[in-house]
Amino acid sequence: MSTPQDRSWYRAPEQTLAPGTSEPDHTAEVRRVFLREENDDAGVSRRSFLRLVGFSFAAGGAVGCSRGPVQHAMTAMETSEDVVAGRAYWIASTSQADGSGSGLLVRCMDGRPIKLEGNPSHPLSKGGLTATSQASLLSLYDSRRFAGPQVDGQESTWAAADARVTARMDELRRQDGSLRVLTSTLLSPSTQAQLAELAGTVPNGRVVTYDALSCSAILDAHELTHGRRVLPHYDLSRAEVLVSFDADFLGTWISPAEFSAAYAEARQPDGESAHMSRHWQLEARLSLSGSRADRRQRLAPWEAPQALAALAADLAQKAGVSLPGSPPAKDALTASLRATLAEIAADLWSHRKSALVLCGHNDRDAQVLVNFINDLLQGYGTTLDLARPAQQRQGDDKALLALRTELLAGEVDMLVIGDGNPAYELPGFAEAMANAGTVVCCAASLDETAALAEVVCPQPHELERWDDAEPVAGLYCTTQPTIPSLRDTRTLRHSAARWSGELADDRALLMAYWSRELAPGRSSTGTVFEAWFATVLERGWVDLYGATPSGPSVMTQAPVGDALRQIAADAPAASPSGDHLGLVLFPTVGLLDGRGAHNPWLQELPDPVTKTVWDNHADLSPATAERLGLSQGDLVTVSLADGQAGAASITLPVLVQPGQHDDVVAVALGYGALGTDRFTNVGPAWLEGENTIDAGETVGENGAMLLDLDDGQLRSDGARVTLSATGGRRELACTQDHHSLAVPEHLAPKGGEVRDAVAFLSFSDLQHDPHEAMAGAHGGHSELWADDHGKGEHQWGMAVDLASCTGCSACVVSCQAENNVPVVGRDEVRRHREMSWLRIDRYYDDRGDGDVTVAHQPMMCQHCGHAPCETVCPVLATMHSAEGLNQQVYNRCVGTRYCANNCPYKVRRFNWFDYPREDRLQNMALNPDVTVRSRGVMEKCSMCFQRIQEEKAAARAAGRELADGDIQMACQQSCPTQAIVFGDRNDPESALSKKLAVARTYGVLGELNLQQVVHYQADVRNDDRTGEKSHG
Amino acid sequence: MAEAPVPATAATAGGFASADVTTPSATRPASLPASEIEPPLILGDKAPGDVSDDVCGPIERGPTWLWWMAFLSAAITLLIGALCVSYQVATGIGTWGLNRTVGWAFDITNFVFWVGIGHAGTLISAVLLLLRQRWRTSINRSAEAMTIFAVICAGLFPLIHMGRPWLAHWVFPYPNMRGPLWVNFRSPLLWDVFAIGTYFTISAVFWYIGLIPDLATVRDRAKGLRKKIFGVLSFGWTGGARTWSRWEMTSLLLAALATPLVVSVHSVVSTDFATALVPGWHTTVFPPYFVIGAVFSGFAMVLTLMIIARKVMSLEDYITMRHVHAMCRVIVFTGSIVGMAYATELFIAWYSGSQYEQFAFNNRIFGPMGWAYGIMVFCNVVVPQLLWFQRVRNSLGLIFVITLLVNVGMWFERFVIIVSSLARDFLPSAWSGYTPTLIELGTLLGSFGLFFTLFLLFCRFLPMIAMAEVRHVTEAQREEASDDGHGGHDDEPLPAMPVASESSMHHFAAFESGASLLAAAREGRKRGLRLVDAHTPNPVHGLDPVMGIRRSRLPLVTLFCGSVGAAIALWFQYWSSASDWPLDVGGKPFDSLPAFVPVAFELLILCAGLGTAATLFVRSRLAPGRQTKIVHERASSDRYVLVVERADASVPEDALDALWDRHGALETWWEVRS
Repeated sequence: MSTPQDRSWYRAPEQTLAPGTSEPDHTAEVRRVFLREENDDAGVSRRSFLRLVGFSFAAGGAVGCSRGPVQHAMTAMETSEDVVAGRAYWIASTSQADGSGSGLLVRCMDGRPIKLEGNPSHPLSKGGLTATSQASLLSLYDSRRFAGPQVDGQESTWAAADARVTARMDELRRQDGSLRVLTSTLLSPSTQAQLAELAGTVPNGRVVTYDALSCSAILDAHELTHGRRVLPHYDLSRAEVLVSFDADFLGTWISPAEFSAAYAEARQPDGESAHMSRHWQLEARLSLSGSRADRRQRLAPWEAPQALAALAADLAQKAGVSLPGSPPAKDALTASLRATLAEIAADLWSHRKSALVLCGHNDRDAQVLVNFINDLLQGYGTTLDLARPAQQRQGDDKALLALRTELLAGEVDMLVIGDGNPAYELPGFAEAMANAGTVVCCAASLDETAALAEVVCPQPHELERWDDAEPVAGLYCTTQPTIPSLRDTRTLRHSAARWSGELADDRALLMAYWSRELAPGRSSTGTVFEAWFATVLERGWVDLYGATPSGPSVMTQAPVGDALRQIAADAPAASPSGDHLGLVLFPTVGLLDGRGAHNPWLQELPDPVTKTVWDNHADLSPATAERLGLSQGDLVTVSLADGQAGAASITLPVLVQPGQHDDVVAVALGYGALGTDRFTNVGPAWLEGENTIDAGETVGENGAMLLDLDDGQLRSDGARVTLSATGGRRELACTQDHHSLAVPEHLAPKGGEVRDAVAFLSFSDLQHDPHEAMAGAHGGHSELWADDHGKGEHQWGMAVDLASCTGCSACVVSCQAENNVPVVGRDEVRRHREMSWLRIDRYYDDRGDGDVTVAHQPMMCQHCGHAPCETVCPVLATMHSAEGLNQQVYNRCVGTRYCANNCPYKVRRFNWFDYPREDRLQNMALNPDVTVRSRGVMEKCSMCFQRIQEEKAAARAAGRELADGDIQMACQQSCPTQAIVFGDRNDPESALSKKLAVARTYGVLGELNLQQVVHYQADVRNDDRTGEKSHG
Repeated sequence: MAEAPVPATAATAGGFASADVTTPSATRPASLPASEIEPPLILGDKAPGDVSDDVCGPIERGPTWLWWMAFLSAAITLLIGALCVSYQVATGIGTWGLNRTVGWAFDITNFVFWVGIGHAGTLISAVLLLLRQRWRTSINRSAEAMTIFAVICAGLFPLIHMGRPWLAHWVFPYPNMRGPLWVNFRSPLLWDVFAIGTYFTISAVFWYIGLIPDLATVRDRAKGLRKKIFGVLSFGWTGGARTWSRWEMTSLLLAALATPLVVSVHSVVSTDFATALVPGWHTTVFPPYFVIGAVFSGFAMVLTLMIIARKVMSLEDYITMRHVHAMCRVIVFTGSIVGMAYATELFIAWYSGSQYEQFAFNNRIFGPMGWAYGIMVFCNVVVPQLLWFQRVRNSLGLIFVITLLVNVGMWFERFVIIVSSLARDFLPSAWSGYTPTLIELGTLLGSFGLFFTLFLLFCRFLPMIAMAEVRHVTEAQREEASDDGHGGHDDEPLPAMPVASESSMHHFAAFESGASLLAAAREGRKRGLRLVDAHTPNPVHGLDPVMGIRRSRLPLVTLFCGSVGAAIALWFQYWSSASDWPLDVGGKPFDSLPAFVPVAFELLILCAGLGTAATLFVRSRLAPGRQTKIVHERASSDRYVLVVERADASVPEDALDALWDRHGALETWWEVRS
């Protein structure tokens, strides 16, 4: 698939020529190499591309040109001069794809990045990387990106674009016009500084920061209570009791990779030093965090402030502090909720100084109470850090509302939009922006905002640019280009500098900022600075926080009283009545606020809870769906009640979601983005095949239209909506049909049947007697045959700790990227033909009160020693390696599918078609170490065979023994909680052997005696009730 | 089912050991003497020539409009199927409704279904031959043809279900550039390859050997191109006495080989499921369950076809109500065993105590595909019970409907076993459903198109009733009716056969029946004539000792070839799996001897069968297109020609004519021996 605008996605440094010189065009070369559009003639080969790349490295360094793509990139593992064709090298960088500034190691080969992995040394993410960050690799190779700057919707040149912008700015200066710079949170301090400088060049200039997933209320609340408008840095590893009100910190909230790592650190159920935090989750919909909670309580968004008030009152009483206001009326909350809150209060109080309350509601009053509670629990200074706040959310909703008002009033003469897509993400902004004098935006591809902009100055992908980030005050992270720029782009920093009159190139700007603001001594220049900066680049981050940790900050009590009064006043109006339901809009783990909408990996990533792909939906609890006479797939129109926000409405299929609050309809954000009709033909085309979406439609519907900014807080929950069935149906594409370990009641023997695929324990049972707790989970291991097979030096194995696994699905995307797993489209998924080698099974266990306990179980090839798949293959296309792995030989497979039938885990995947790869440019992300499978071939988890071989070869070349941990599986590498351990079972000292020795270890379907080498550690919940519902 | 049950083992053993078949009285069980109990097998008091006229007539007369209608619809259906398969092969298996959980559905269902259909043909031709069921002779030819066509249909499905049929040869262990990498002899799919391959080969050989005398009949009646074609096809058959003797022995040996083969084939097919660990598949009852189900569905299909064919081809005198009744009894008998098997499965699932097993059957009956289970039980267990009633057995219309339903039911049996078991196995997360696509339905339809196209071509171009064998039956019937004692034994010892003279003439006499020929030959022998040969349209039992033909040593050939085949198979499997390139397959030992048994067995049968047939062809000088001198144009139809030589002058030439006249010779002539 190639469109004319594809034609310039590769730019070599030689193209940096004096103005007026004709530019050499390498497009044809690259097309020959990668797209094989012409027959290879003599001398044109992959090798010539390598020469090109090699030259670009050299030239980049030598010329130091103004748009030089890769200049002095520092690799983390090896130095850049030994870039060898076919050998991978790593470059440390920083991911901003999910807004958290996680550490990144970019695996590159032959001059292009092919895989993103976590940087284990990074102090926040500690090697973890979310699904969104992982998948951002594919966005680099997105053919939809602008080839260069756009003026008035036409392709243009930077000179023309700059001329237009500077002319308009000169006008502003002359006429005292207003300039507004609107950007989503910028982690980059250098860019922030540059934007501030830009705004400063105009008398009436201002920078407005927003977040589509706003945490503005938390910042505002801290401004009220602590005098600083900051986002505290939460330390979940120190929280022994963690209470979350609708904050999905494991999935999407602020910094999921970091929080997941810390959360797992606080939950280590094995050994002498066993400890386990208790996690309470009170939420309206079933979030990923809720699915992992020890105790979960369904709580409508409008109940949350009152619940917090009740909790605050309870804790104040325990602390002997007088509540600076009146507690909520007793009848405001149900008895069961009050009882739960009392339990929570007792739990929190008994763990004060190591307790933490989180709240995901963007509601200032609620957040003030949260601050009050955390203060009562003496959390500031322990579980919350204000001295060194997080910078991952800096948005200011009040300023945003003010900007919208200004825009609507026509008072903004020029609007520069940096990061973000406000016309899509924010309610009413598309209309408001139409009133701005001039709109300049920096979108990389045609989105809703770029469509409205006069000038578009596309930004390079984060893998193509120099950048920095400061996710937490004082922690500076660097971003390096890993590939010559594929498009003619410029960073926001660079553009802002140009428009402010600076002519330095982007790297120089960054270096200048660092040398000016951050370098040791603040004045070092020249080689001293260069050397220091090189060390920073090589590691990817530097901690420059010098101040000693400050003591507990003092809290102002007055706002608490105001908040309590406001909550009491709002209470009667808050809850929906009659036919209304409360709306909850939420980001999904893959798409977040829509930044992943153009990424096919993320579109096809099953949501960790609903397991749906390629769609958003109106989620209803089973009781509500039944009450409304709706079943899964029925199309309903969700409309805002009583004319709020212009009575916007969207039409979506119903999804029946256990564990959701009965009065709530939940809708995912991030869908319905402009241009997602590109995915119309993403799957294979055949007689009965259906398009992923209808031509001209978008993937899902944009729920952001239903967001509410009217009171200066970007509210995603609580709006009253009505539902009306349209009578239509759309079958959802769901990777899992049956959602329980219990078989359907009418098919089960008397008393019901529960499959013991997942072992589930309570922490107290485990501590009491781990072996008794696990009784029955181990299969027998009698041997019928003598083992006459030669065994290799290593016996590989894997352990997946379900107590750590959050189900976040980072591993799924990682596996997809590593192993060239194709995207198959909605229709194929609906036909249960998803290709993913690693899936995460999710089971609900109905607790009987409308709530569910959720188990996540990553499921991949178990590499059985007695593999049922192997014996049945007629052609020996699958057999066992001497190192204990089940191997699939693609070029031997004839496609009988017998192996897949005989696999009890159903982890084998068949290539039903030759899967078209929607975007041929994206084929550059293919891992050259892994075969792309053709149709008719069976495939499955290979235990990253290529990684094993690579490390073995490296060790052999270096003349050393392979050390434990040298080899990391793709799924393991990026797991934020390190739930996956790979290693050698022959080595008693390996991390794997130690992990397998814990009592919680079991094999799925152990009674079949398949001798699989993938083992699991039982899920543990710190809830004494777990034992009663144990499946062990 | 059999009026005079003969233990199968005894019959099988007897096939090698006894010469019963050569004595005509043995073909009629003593317990069934009176023809008034049952009507004769062949109606209309057919003379040997009538048989030729009735059977060859439709072939010679050219197709009727009814045939054309049937053929066109079958060919169109075949075309639809071919288009579907071409599309699937070009596009991918994704054009079928399969998914990650259900890897087999219509493909293997159709495969097992068609293999099962084939079983009746072998059973009728082989097992009933061993059991000396004379009623088989009217239907065995078309039943065997049905077997071959059904196996062709069956074989197509494993081929196309891979999606890349051009790789199909990879399942054969041939030397290759990959090591050589051999194949996995532990895989039931590989056993299938050998079982189906052997089954097809042996069935085809058995069928063709049976066809040769009838092809000669058609040849001798024909002129022009047809004569040439059938001349090539009939391998130079002249119906000589020694050839008949070997031919009968070969038939018996092939029948003895085909009987365990047919049992092995569906047993091997059932191991595709029985050796897997999918609940609902993993059950030891499958081999007998599948074999009996195959017989059941096969007989139903034979009956369906026969009911149509006897009408369309005007063969009511040959395929009589007695045949229909016999087949009805087989169907109700095997149908009841099938019902028993269903009950056993349920009992074992309950008795196993395995939750997966119990769920598999609960799900099969009450789950989303319970409707299919209902169809299966209704069609296979309930409907055939109607055949207990005489009135039902006398209604061809009802029987036709019942046999159709049985085949629907048997198709659904395979569908239920395959799909419902796969769709919901161990991990509930992977459960799925299955809906066929149009391509799959078209492919199923196309397989019926192929089957009927082949069958109609067969009806049109080849004698669809084994004329030689039917002549034998009608002759016995006529003897019974006239009771003239011709068939009786004359135990008087025969004098030694004179040796051939230096130069003399061959005297020919054509008789109208085998009995006359036999009596004439006996007397000629006593008179000191050298009996050179007899050319008859059907084997004349009792002639061998008179002609001085010794018992054939073909069984030794069979034994030798079979032993060599099995030994090579066992050695090769061991060598390739455990010695040449041992690979760890599912943790099984390198020399998995039990797993090597099926292939060794199939190769035993294959080598024995092919060796026997080849020996027949070599010894009797039968080969495609071989030109032989035909002694009499009607010697393959209704003339029984005896060839003698006067070894010395003790028999005067005119006395010879008198002798022949006394035995009712229709023509006599002589030729100088060349």
